Amino acid sequence: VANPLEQFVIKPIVPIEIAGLNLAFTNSALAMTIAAGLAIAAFVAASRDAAVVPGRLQSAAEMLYGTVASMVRDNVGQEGMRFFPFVFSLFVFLLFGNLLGMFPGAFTFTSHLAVTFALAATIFVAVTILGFYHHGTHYFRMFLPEGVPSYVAPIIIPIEVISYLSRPISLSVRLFANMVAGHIILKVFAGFVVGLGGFYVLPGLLPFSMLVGFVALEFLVALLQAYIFTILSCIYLNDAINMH
Amino acid sequence: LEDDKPRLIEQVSNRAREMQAARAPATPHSADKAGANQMGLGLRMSIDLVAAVAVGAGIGIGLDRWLGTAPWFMLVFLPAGFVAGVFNVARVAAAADRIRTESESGSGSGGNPAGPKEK
Repeated sequence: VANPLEQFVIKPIVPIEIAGLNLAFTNSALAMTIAAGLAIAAFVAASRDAAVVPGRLQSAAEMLYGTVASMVRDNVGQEGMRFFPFVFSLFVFLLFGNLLGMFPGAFTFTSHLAVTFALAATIFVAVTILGFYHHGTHYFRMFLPEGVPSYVAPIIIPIEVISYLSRPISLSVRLFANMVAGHIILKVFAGFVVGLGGFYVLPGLLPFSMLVGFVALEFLVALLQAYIFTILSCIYLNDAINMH
Repeated sequence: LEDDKPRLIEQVSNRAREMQAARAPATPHSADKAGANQMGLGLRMSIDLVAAVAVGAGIGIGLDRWLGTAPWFMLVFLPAGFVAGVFNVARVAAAADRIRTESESGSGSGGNPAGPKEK
């Protein structure tokens, strides 16, 4: 059975070193560039010949736009639409990253905690700054829910602070863990198929049929995790703008 | 050909009615969508719990390292992290519950169990 972790190895493609820092252009960076480039190309192509009766590509683009727009409106409200470009870019970037990772042999950049945590930490810091910008010191009320008697405040405040600080961690770990677990399962079951004699004999057919199911499940997870990451970002944005 | 016209119109309108009937019950509570949302909800809760415990332990161990008071801050912040994790899970569950009862009573405003408003 091939090493199921081999698919996550970062390999430098163009070695770059500036001031002792390893800034090599890696396979992960390449996957991100492809995802971003493909997303831009797809949306440019979809909107170039915009018609009243949309074609296939235009419908897909409009559907994505509508999904994210209603997500922002439902979770943040109309004033949250200021942040729609950011939320939409985030969703499309993650969606393309997750789905491009489903190509055999492709690198899934969302399967690295460094990537997902960088995204989550950026959102967390931005949302916190936004909260203080909008509400000033009143934003500290986030850590003391309404109607809590003052004598339990010394217990509640550290707990709420921990709960608040756990956001970027749960946000990044969820995406990273789901992608890693799914891709390991795919690789392990694919290894079973080969180990049991290929998919044309009975013992190999069993893991092969399961593999087909897992691939379908992985597509669901790829979509769902991009969606969850984005919707949670919207919820955090809502907390910062509207404070509960 | 002219004779076929009324029949064709009838066929088309029948087909349209069938399609509408097939789509109508699927819109609010598609089994697939509900399943995906439940799965997302479960994953969300489990990781919310663990993340808070990790943050609590991290703060405690960090303070201990800094102040050289091991293991006291860890002993305080690890349970605090656990409580924060339970808070997180309870919040997600309460919000999901609220949205479900809202949509069951027919006054759902298109809420999403995977993305309930916290607090």
